[in-house]
Amino acid sequence: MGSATGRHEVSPVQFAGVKDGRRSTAAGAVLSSDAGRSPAAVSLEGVSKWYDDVPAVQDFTIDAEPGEFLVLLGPSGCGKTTVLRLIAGLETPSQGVIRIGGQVVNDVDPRNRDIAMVFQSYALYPHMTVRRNIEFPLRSRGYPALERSRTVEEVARSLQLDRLLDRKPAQLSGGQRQRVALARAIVRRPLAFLMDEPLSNLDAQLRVEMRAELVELHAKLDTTIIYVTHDQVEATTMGNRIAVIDQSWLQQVGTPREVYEHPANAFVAGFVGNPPMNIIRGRLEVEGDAMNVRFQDGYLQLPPGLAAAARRENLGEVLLGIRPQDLQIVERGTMHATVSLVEAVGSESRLVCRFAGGQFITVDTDRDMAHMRNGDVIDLAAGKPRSERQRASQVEVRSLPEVLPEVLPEVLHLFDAASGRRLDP
Amino acid sequence: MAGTGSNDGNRSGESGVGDNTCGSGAMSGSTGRREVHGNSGGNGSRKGGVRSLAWLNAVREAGLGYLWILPALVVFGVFVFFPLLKAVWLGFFETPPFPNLPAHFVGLSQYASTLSSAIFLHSLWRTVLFVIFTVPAGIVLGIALATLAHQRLAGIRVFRTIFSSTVATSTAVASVIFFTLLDPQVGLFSYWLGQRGGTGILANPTLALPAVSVVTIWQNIGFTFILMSAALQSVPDDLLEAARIDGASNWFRFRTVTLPLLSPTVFFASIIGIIGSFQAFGQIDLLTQGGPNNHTLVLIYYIYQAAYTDSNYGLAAVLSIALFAILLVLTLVQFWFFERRVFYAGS
Amino acid sequence: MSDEPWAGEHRAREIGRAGWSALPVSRRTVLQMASLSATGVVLAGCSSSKAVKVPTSKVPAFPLGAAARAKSKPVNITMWQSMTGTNGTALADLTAKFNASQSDVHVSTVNQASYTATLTLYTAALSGGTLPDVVQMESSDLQLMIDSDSATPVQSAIDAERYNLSDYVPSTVDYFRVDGVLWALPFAISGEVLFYNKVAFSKAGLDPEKPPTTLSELRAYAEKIVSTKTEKYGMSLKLTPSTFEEWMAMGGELLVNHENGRSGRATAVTFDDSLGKSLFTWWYDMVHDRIAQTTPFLGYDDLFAIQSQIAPMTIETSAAIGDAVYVLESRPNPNLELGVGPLPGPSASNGGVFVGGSGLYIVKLRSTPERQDAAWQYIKFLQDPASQAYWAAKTGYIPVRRSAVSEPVLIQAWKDVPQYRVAYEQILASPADPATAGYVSGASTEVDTAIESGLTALSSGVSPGTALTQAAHTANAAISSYNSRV
Repeated sequence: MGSATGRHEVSPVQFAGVKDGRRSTAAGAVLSSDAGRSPAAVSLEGVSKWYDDVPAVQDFTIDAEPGEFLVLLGPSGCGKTTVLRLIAGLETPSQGVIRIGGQVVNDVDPRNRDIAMVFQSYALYPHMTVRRNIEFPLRSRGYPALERSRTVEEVARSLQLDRLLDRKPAQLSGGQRQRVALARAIVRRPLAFLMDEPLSNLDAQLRVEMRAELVELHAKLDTTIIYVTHDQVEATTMGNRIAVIDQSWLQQVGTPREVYEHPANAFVAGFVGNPPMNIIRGRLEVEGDAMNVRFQDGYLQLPPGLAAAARRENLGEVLLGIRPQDLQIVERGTMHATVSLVEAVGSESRLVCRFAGGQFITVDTDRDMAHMRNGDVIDLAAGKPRSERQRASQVEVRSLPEVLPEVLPEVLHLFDAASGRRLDP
Repeated sequence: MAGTGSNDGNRSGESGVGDNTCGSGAMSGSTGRREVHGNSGGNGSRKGGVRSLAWLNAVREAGLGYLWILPALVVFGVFVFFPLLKAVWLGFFETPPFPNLPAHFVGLSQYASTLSSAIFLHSLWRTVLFVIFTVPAGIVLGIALATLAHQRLAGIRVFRTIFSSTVATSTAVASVIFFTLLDPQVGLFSYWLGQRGGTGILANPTLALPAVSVVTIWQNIGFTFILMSAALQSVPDDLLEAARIDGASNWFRFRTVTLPLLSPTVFFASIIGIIGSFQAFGQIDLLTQGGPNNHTLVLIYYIYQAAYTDSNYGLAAVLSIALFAILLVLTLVQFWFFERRVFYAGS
Repeated sequence: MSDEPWAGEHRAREIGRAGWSALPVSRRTVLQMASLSATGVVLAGCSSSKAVKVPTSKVPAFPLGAAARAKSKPVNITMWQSMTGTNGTALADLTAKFNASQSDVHVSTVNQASYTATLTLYTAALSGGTLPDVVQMESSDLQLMIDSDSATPVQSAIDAERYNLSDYVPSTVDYFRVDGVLWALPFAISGEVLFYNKVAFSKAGLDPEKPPTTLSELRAYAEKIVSTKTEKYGMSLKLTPSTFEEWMAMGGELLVNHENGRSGRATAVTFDDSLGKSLFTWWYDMVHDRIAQTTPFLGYDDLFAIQSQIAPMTIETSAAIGDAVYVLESRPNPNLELGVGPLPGPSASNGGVFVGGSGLYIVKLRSTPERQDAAWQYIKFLQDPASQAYWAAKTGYIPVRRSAVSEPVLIQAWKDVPQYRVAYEQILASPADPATAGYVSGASTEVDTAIESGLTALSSGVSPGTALTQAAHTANAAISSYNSRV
């Protein structure tokens, strides 16, 4: 039965030769397949998926390079899982072209796509032992028994499953099940692994460990992984590149650093980073040479580059993004907020405050703020602390800096309030 | 409070909380209960001195338990166990055709002679054949139809309704319909076959039992279909998708994933089916009345004839006990067999 | 009880009536005499045989007139009956007429759907349920009714009242007489007749007004129909055991021993004789020469075969004439015209037919004298010539009273459907002897089934001899089983 699908040699070096596309070079740019180079492991070109009138994925173009760990990141319902299912062949695209290993697979059955998938639920066959589960992809493709058992044992050993081979999934812990699902995926070396939130069912501690294991595994296998998650920590720690998706649209593709430091729009800015970036709505005001962003409770002066850009664009309403660690509590500042909650852990504190307009903002500081109480009013300024030394002394004296911190251009992210688009100096 | 017996989970639980002085104080719900159980052994050994009290408690518990099941016991006793014992007892008597006349006690001889009689063995064999004809085919058809109707196709609801519609058809109606269809003089089947007249299928000794079986399968298919559809629906989609991605062909996937996951339902359907076939009466009474020449004389119909045609209640009692014993053994064997083979999800 | 005025009167007549049974007469004479006694011929000279001792237990005394003397009137009684459709309506009419005709008795009828259902329910009620006062029971259940010890033989009432049976069609009452005692009065009587399609006869070159009268003629007719390709089969042979039984009776043969079970409890069948074998052989040849098709005992496939022009002849109960005529008239077809002829018998026919149908019994178990007498009054009313004429006219059953034939209502009905008359005349012409009385056995259902199975086996190639022996064997086993249980 299985022989119809053809045999593949289980060779660990099958894709080892393709290395060059591993790191994305074009920062923040959307890659398309480039003739002359080895074909992308997985490539989507203008792919859309509609369920009746409801769009799930719109005009999606992205390449996953051979050996790349590509993370599809987005909130639930954004369409990231649909992208994965389109690649797997579990859904057919309404539009566009999907290629795997350079070949168009739009009409290719999932079993002939040379991919493996790890499901969020693990999708282990509950009536089969671990051994049977792992060898299933081999069995269904008609591999001989001897080769099957050799491969299964090898894979099981590498994932520390060798002592569990005769158990059934119900007798395993969550982490063990996770590993069985991984083992089943890697037992046959496919062109790409698709992983759909594989760690979301694990407890926090195990999740951290498994992240590391997955990264190690990826390094060892050197095969493309397309990994879906809603957890931006996972995305930034594991991915070579991150594709941020929201409301069926691809928002930005880039390395974790690019996405973190240069979010393409307000959504990406708010989504990537923990805690999320503060996005404050304001109005641009010209005051002589300077340009301020005015909120209900104060204002912030833009650095010259950004001010120029804002003037050029002739914007009115803007969104100002500042990461919590880029907000400093100062004696007298241009922004005022009321403390709602203080989270003091050792020498670091996180303050959740409210602007007069009702908007919450988060402030991370490396000083102990345990003495702050709900209702206290603080002044804030944007910028990095002056120096390490100064910070150390402040822990002792609990005094606030008299001088405003230096506003570095990179701590401010300015977005057009209407489109959410980023403004660069 | 701490002095009360340790056999009672709740009570020892309270004392357990006291002993541990659990700081969390959040020992509520099921997790709390479980922890408490772990402690109860220690409590018991420590407070072993009040055993008589514990014993009294246990008796009280048991008494209360019996009180709760008393209504069910009474109902079962009156409507199941008493008639069963009465039937066993009746089997010891050669009964007159009329209940107002005296019966003769003959002991076990009626059991011995009946169960070794040619007609009983014949009837048993016909019953076994009937089960073999109806149960596997019914289940296979049920799975096949359920699989067909499981597709996401336009208008599939219509087929689902059609496939399950026989549930709403009574045995009597189905039998009368088939009786008319199979009639050699006026029936549609003989007309289609261009073979009008002559001995009809139901009067043909070779074909009568298969024909009755087909009617039975048809009659049961709706129920089996619904069972299997529900079971198919409970097979997680991602398992089937995983199998597709893992390279399984449709048939391989069905055989290795779907079918094993259906096995509890197949088991259930086979027990229900076998018992149902052993008790199939209406279609036989309406289609063949045990004929031609006893070729459809299944056990239940033999019992009916003994009791209501021949007014031989002693014989009917012996036959009923035999049927009961057979069904009991079959059910036990099935449980024993399938316990090993059937996969129960989430076990 | 014993000082009731009717008791002494009864005893005197009983001695006279039953005297013959102790006389050394041939088996057949006994039955002939029995039927004679019923007609009242012997009754006239009853006082002459006073010397013969008769066990008084045989026929109990009957509380004649008890209903009229009842303290509270009317005496309410219940009848269980199995008449449906038109027949049920006709019975309801008669019952209403009876209730209106007098004030002593009021009858309510309860329909039990079928004879089988009636027997089942009646049997169940014997152990303690509510029993009827009058029960209409299928004729073949006679021995069961006797053995149930739950009915007063109507003989008691007849004796008590000196009720005259001379107007009855003899074989209708003969059927219900066992060991000289009449247990029930006949009701809803029918006989087996030949149904045929006159148009098919004409097409085949047969005279439609001259149906076959013997089995060899029947075969010749059937052959002709097949050879002229008029229809696929010459006839349908319905797997009814009673057809075979009628043929045996027509051949003057008994079906079971002890004078067909009428001089003593039958212990074995006797149908496995040469006549029986020749009948089985005839049947076998008809089927295997593809001249006849068999049709099931259940239903009216043989009539459908006439209608669908597959086989133009069949032997059916006369009770089906009404339905057949109705069907043909409601859907007229130029190719169909129903003819009814007397039942063709074995060529050496010297006997006659016995009747089918039901008997009316007086229930004595858990009853009172008043109710038994009321039951008798009602039964008697149903047997009146006027009632019988109405009944026969409305239902197509055979009237059990000869004088009913001259009632205008029946004259008119038979003019409308002349086919009805055939069965009546056939039964009227039957001689009174044990063979034409029909057989009685408590195991009659099993015996009938054994014969049906034997005939069925012929279709699958079992030889006539084997099939007959097997049928006799099965029937004998059933009879011994039954006898051992009573």
